[in-house]
Amino acid sequence: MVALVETRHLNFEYALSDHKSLSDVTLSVEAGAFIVIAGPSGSGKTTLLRQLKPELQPVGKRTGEILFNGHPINELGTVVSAQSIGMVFQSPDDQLVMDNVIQELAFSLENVGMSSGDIQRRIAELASFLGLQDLLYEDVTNLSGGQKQLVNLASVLILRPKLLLLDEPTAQLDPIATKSFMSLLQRIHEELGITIVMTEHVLDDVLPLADQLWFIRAGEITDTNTVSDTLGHLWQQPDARLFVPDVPYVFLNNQLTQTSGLPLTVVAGRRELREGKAKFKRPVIATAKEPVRRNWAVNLTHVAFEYDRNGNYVLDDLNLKVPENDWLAIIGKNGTGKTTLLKVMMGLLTPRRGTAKLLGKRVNSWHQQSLYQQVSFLSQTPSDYFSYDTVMAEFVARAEQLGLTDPKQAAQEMLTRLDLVSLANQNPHDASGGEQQLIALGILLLSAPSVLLLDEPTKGLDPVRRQRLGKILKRLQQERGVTIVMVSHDMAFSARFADHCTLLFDGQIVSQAEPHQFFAENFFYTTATNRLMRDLVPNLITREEVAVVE
Amino acid sequence: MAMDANTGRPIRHPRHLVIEQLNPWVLLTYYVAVVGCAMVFIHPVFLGTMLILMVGVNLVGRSGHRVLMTLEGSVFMVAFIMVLNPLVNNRGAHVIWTFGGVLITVEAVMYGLLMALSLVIVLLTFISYNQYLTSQKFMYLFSRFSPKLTLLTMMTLRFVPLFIKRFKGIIQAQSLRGIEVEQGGFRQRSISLVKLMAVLLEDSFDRALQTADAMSARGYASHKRTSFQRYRFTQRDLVWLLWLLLLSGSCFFEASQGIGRLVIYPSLGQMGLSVEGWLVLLEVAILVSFPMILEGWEWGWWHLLKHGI
Repeated sequence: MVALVETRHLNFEYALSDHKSLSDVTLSVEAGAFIVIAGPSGSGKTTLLRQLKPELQPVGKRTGEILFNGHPINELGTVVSAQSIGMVFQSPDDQLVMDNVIQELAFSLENVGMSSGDIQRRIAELASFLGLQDLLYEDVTNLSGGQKQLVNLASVLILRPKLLLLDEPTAQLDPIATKSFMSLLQRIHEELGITIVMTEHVLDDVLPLADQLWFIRAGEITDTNTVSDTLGHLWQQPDARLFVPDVPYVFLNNQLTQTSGLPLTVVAGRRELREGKAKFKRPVIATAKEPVRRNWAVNLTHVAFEYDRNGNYVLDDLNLKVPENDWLAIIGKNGTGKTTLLKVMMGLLTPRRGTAKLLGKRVNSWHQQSLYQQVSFLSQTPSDYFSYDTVMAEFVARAEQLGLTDPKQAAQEMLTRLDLVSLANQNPHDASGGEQQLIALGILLLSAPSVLLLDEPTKGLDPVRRQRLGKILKRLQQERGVTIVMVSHDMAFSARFADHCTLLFDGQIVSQAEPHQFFAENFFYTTATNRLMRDLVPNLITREEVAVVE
Repeated sequence: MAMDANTGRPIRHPRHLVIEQLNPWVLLTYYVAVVGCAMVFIHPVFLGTMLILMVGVNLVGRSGHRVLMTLEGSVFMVAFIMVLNPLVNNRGAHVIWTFGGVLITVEAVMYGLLMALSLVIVLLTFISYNQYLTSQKFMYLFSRFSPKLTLLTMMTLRFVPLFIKRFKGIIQAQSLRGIEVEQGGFRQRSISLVKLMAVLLEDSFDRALQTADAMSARGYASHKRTSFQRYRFTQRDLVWLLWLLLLSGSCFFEASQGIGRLVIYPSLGQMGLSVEGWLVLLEVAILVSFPMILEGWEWGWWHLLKHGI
């Protein structure tokens, strides 16, 4: 087989850095392969990917060789490199340059100096292949996140690359958009034979498509094997175990027999389960006794909300009660008004009709700053909360502002509590997505709020950080009596950590129940574990709960 | 189908008018010709006709509300010109009234009226211009002269609403952590505002770097850029362009011969139009009603000729 890309003893060290970001990476990508690179955030996934695209190689000290089609990659001409190696990034918004879709597609071709006629032909051809016809003249700002990412992919594909590099392309998308992006990648790989190298840390959807799974840790490639071999190897290492997706996790965790390799999809898993005939324990569902009279942390009655005059009601006669010290997960597809609901709760948007009460008091009768000290809202962009140069300064400033007796001490405690001590003197903007989330959370927690509203807290987090966040929040709930209301499309996370789940649809709360009951009643909108196990034990919802009867 | 980013519901597209489908160069020619006519044919009958037709053009484009607002707003200006011109300008043979050495002449009153009318027509033309010749089309017209500058302008224009949206998000988030721009003394508020601007700049810089990466990944600056022409110049465009050029050319030629221009100074001339004058008026009317003719033909095609399905 011919290697399309090869690296030999590649080392890389960022300028002004004291450690190697990549060390002694030797690998080879065969033409036509589909390779997924997994690893914790900050392990060098993106750095590695950027080495393979000459225009994007970061500044620093590089030793070793990178070959493309047998020639040094940096000797490719700029036009050739732009055309034969394509790269799609994480953020759907920041990659768009032009104002509408057709111009966005043309932009790539204009850059390499193609004539109007050729551009027209390529757009026609690609639009038909990807089914973009209806979007061609659309203003890019009107597109959903999934559509934007599709346009970003299309505007790279239009250059007809041989190698497609993708850097966590679905991290910002909801599960439905993720699935349609993945099935598009599958078509591109199978029908066009384009070689794909992709980094990702949520592996459930992508592994069934991949030939190989590579694992990278602290700049070193530890695995370059087939998917099931790498998963088997990851299973041996306690700290890498979390990366194993739900279906193979259940099989590895219970040492179930596999007749035809490690199953990766629900359908393959169910087939194996039928043949294996293992018996499973029913989960012990802890049902807390409901006290007779509870105080409501959040109480919304008959809330309606529209964004403009004569607009559509995003929330429509919605009623929601959240008891104190509860953890409620509000689940639903993007664009169903989940964020709007949180903002109405917080008083950031004024409902058209109905009343919103927080801690028994109408939102608009609270004094604003005292409300914000009692109730915290963490949006999807944690960086909006930063105003100082170091994490420590952020915490100290907020503590001073709150008039705490010893701001330094309070800041230090918060750093320890959220496991951020190592970042104390870093600029919060330089931290990774997951860490930014925790820093913003720390700023908000300094006022010791009793209610926490979270908007998609797990978006873009790797499995390790996701679990850490879950545990920190759980501790807050148990030790400090905090009420948590979270909006999320991460069903596995909600199933594992929340006390109650609910579905928002068509402006209304559709059902509100304990997670086991909630997911067992759902058919489509449920966790992968539940879909795998539901014929055997209907109310198993998290992978940790699955256990074989001895 | 595209979704509204706020509500997640589909956006309905209005129907396209015929004139919106024409090449921007044809549109530009039309508007230049109309503004030219409004400034050249200084005659009450001509200006009156053009005023009515321009209102019609705007009604076809469903911007009646804006026309009303413009007319309302220009009442004061029209009155101002009509009063001021006779006061400062006392040329003319027919004196209506004198006071304190100021002569009010029929000529000056008429001239003021015509100037005001002409101005209102130009304003109405600009309402229509803004509606049809969008910034994208304008950019297309000028991309020939400097593709780089056009790209820059386009990116900037796209950036402004994003910038505002980001700033609102930051103000909200910062207020949640206790940094307020709307409360406290002037000093306190200024400090907060500067902080927020710094946050916005830092964030925008981060994003700009990502955009720059995405651009260079797609070969920006790897080769001399070409420019993809999104608006095709079709045979129909050519026909209409020639038609507009011919019509306006003939109008301006007649105007240069003094037809359709009321003689005002030194002495008010005949209001009545000669046969030639009526013919030129017809030409001007046809020129100005161009969008209505297109729309009328479209309507007729579907309703009268029963081409509909």
